[in-house]
Amino acid sequence: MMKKGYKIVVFAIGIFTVIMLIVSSISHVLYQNGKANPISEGVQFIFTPVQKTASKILIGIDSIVNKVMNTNTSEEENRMLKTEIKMLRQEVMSVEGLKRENENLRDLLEFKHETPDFDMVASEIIAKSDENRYIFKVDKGTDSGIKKDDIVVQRRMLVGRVTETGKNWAIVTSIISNKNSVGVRISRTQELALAENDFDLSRQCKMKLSFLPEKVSLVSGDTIETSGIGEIYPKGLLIGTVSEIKTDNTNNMDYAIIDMAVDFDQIQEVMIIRMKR
Amino acid sequence: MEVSSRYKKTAVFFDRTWKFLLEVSIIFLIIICQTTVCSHIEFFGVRPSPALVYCVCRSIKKECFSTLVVVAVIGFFLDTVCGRQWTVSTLLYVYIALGCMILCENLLKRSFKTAIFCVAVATILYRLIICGFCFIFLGESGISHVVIFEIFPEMLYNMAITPIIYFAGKIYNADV
Repeated sequence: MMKKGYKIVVFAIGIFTVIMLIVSSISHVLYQNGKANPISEGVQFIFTPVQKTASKILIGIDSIVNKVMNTNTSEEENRMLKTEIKMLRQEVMSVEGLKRENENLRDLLEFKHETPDFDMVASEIIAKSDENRYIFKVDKGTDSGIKKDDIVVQRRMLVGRVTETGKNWAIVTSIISNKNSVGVRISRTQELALAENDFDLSRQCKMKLSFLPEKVSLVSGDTIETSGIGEIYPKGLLIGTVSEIKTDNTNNMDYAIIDMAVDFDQIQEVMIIRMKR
Repeated sequence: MEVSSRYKKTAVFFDRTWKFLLEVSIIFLIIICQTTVCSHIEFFGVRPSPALVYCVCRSIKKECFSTLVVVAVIGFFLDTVCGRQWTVSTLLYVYIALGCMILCENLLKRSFKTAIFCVAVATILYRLIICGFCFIFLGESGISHVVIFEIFPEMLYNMAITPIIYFAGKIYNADV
């Protein structure tokens, strides 16, 4: 094929490239409101249920493997007390699970009481982008009233926002993915600043806190929350804690490093706040 | 004579249908692996890219137009499922597949070693191009960090899964 039709193949790929670029440009222009185009909607409609099932199976397998590994370790450590340790561990695990669930629910309840205007939907992460692990796909979409720019949280911690929606799915871009910056407030002093993404920091689940006030009394451990300015993210959602304060040598400005409150590598379930816009 | 010809036609029809269904299943499986399974088998934040490995292995084993179509379909589905409006994977996968075909036609043997080599090169190229886009459009820097901590480990991971995909393709005669 290559020897005889080499030129034809290259020509065909050239035309294919031009067509794809034109089609994607048109799609980009026509569907800027975050609503998926019909092709995307169709493909996602097919893949979403399978991804959802696969995700559930894999989480199940993960937990079984973890349990088996834990059990094996305890067997090696103390063979005589094997049964007892196993039972105790299972008991502790279930108690811890219940405790965590209770804490989550209590937090959510508290959050819901504090913010009665918010209407929340529980959702599960069913896939992650192959290029940017901080862009997720969740199993709820326009069917559940989700729309573009709805806010995604885990307990009271800000995860990101919805950037694209389909019938039974939505794409969530987390705050530490490439394009985001968030207006924030230092909880202790109520001073305003901006949490920005930095290419290197985002890979370590961190953000850069910049535009700090001149005489800021920031200390390591200060909690950072959303300021509500900018009208994208509501006020009072936890972003993280300050881990380091540094000075930028180029402009002699102070900035801080924020350790994110959400564990983006382990995140499985999120709540989507249906914003009333 | 007539019965034999009819039998042959039916056999050909079933054979083609079977191959088509197998191809569709493989594409489906690859997309699910890439988007859902890979995040559960990551080591220190590094995930393999079975779709890229499959595209390379297939283009090395079978040099035909259908390979380019399958590769484009995989890339397109990946772009769509991951919510990308710009068809980056579609085009890059097709170019990589064509590159592998040309290499095997002129310079390299169609062998397992070639597959490993091409997977390594393709991973580096693919990731560097993506980084280039991020640099141009998003103003991101830190390329050395990405090469050392992301591209290089991913290349090794992809090379490690190449035998599975390469030989699985042979067993199931995936090169339809």
